[in-house]
Amino acid sequence: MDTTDSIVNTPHTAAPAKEGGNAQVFNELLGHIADHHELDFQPIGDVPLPYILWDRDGFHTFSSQASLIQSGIYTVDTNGQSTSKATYKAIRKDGKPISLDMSITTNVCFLALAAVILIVLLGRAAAKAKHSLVPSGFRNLVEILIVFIRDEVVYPNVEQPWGDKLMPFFLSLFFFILLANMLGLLPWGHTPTGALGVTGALAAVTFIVTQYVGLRTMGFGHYMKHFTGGVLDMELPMAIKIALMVILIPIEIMGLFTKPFALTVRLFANMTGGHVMIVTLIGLAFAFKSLAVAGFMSVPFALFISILEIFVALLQAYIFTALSAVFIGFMAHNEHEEHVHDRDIPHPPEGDHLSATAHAV
Amino acid sequence: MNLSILGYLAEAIGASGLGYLGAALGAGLAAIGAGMGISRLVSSAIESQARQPEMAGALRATMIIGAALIEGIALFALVICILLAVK
Repeated sequence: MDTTDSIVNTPHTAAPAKEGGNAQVFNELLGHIADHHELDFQPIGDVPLPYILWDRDGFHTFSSQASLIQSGIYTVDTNGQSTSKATYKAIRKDGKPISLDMSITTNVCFLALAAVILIVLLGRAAAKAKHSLVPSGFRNLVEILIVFIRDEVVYPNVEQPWGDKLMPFFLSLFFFILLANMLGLLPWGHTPTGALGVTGALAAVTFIVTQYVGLRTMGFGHYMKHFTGGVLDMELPMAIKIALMVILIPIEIMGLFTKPFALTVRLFANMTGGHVMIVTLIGLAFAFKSLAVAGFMSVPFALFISILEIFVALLQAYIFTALSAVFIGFMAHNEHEEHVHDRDIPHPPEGDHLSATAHAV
Repeated sequence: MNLSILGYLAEAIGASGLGYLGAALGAGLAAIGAGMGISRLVSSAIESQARQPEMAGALRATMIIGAALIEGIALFALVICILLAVK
């Protein structure tokens, strides 16, 4: 076991050293995207962030990576790569596992920063609304976004009792993701939504809300029944029903989890992808060691992608909110299906939206 | 016996770097698929918007959600490629 590990690992650890400069530059640059244990204010200096570790001996806290290594109990897992950034996870020297790593990393810092900015800015905008109904200044911008989310995203997708009840949830989701995306575009900034843990947690919240809405609107019986994909209501022989259910139930249960998984990966990949592009373009200048490449390729293209990323930050916040609304809308809708059909059939179709547009054509 | 052959193959693939080739090809194919899907979606949406400008708002929202779903499938493929590449 040990020998195979060393055989597998040796080329990995040797590779960066052999390729020398270029790999080193890209490692160094990619270290800025990854979650790390210091705040970067580079021309001025770095601010180390604390390691907080919980294992069988209790809590251990260290103010920086240097003091962690000095302690003698812990060291860092460099994984064969070397960067000057403190991107490494802490590990115990004696090989025992660390139960819980609660270190304050850059992701944690910027998530907290996003939350504080959100509370302060939106709180001020909301406080203004108490004094006068006429929006002005920053409140104009906030109101445009809120009305957009309400009228274009939530109301068309989520049926009424839930549409209004869940409005704070959708608005928090939208503004928080938007701000978290935008923070990475600032100098010295970091994108917390460029980490799978963060996007996964956001998707998990959506997942829980979706299932809660489903349980409340359908009731437990109908909620369990919807996993059969409606086979039970079809007029089929029992044997075929069972055969169909054997296929459909696993698919429905898988479909339950692919939705939040897709939300997680989509936000993560979009936010990380743009940053990796910028890093690669900047890295090209170092790889070619040429001022012409830097001036005519790296900087203009990196600038273009940065501008594109402002749009992507807004778009991904919108898409995450819209897809959450669509998924929750499915669940909020299910119960009414039968009633709506009963009510709609006797009515003449004049008021029907589709037939009205068909008439216009 | 079959398992030992598979193990041998996996080792050979790992050693020769064919996994990287597979990952790169997979990422490229996923990009082609997603590109074709999104291009068809957007061209149809633009056509519909030109025919019925009053529906433009609803069509745009539906289009973006559809594009996001297609992108999600491409990202699933990409995750598998990344798993192959970093294994």
